[in-house]
Amino acid sequence: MAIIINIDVMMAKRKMSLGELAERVDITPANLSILKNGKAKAIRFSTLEAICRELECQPGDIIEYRPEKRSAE
Amino acid sequence: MQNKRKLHKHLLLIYIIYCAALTVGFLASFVPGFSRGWQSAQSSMAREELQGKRTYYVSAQLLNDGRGDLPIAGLSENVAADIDRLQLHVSVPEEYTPGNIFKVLANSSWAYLMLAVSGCSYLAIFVLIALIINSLRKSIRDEQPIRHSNIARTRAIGILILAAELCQATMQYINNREAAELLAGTSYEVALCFPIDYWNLIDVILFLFMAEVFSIGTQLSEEQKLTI
Repeated sequence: MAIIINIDVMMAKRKMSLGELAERVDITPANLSILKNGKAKAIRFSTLEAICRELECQPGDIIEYRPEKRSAE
Repeated sequence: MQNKRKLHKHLLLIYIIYCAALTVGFLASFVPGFSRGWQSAQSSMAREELQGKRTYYVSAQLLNDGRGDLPIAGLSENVAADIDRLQLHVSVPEEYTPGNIFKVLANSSWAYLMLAVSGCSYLAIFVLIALIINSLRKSIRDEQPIRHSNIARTRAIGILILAAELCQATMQYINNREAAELLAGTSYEVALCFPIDYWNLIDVILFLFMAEVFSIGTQLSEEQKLTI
């Protein structure tokens, strides 16, 4: 997928554990782990807002668009 | 939780009833019929081998009613009866060889092959239904409503019904063609169209449609689950 989640980078910068962030954002650690590992299909604005608030960052700091290279080329 | 347990028990009951009905049906109809047929075939083959004859069976669908050719004794005057299907036992002066041993239906090995394929298809459908019920029972425990394997099985059932119907229709067509040759010059006219049952084709469409609906439903459910 061309959308990369950099939530782990921001968590490391803020020295915050997955469990702590999950508790602050009010989602389960399992769901936050799905998001962190790039397995999520979608993210709610409310969740994004809560993550940005707790990590003191912009949505662009945790979500990145990286175009996939075509294998045929 | 209570509801889940109730549903689990309900599906277990359906599974047991289905398996019991299949076993009873198999023991009550297939086993005696098969053993009777096997004994009858063995004795008739032994008799025919001595006489240097070979018998094959032709089932023909008639177009005309053939009234007057075969009077049915004992019918009331105001009752009319037609013949719409003939079962012919044809004896030919040939010995059984490895080349003609399977030509027991319509003097064609293809008809026998079609019968075997359609029989296997129906058997596979019964097994797939049992697997679907069993899988549903387990999926309640795992809280996953419809599994991908069940979608694939539903699609497979649709394709197998289609395969069985096409094989049966081909077998009947081969029978009708053979009967038409045998009955040429008589007053019986055999239906030579491809005898496909459109209700079974509707079943095929319904099963494939159902599989697609389940597939889309599962996809939506997964997306919903993975929306954080």
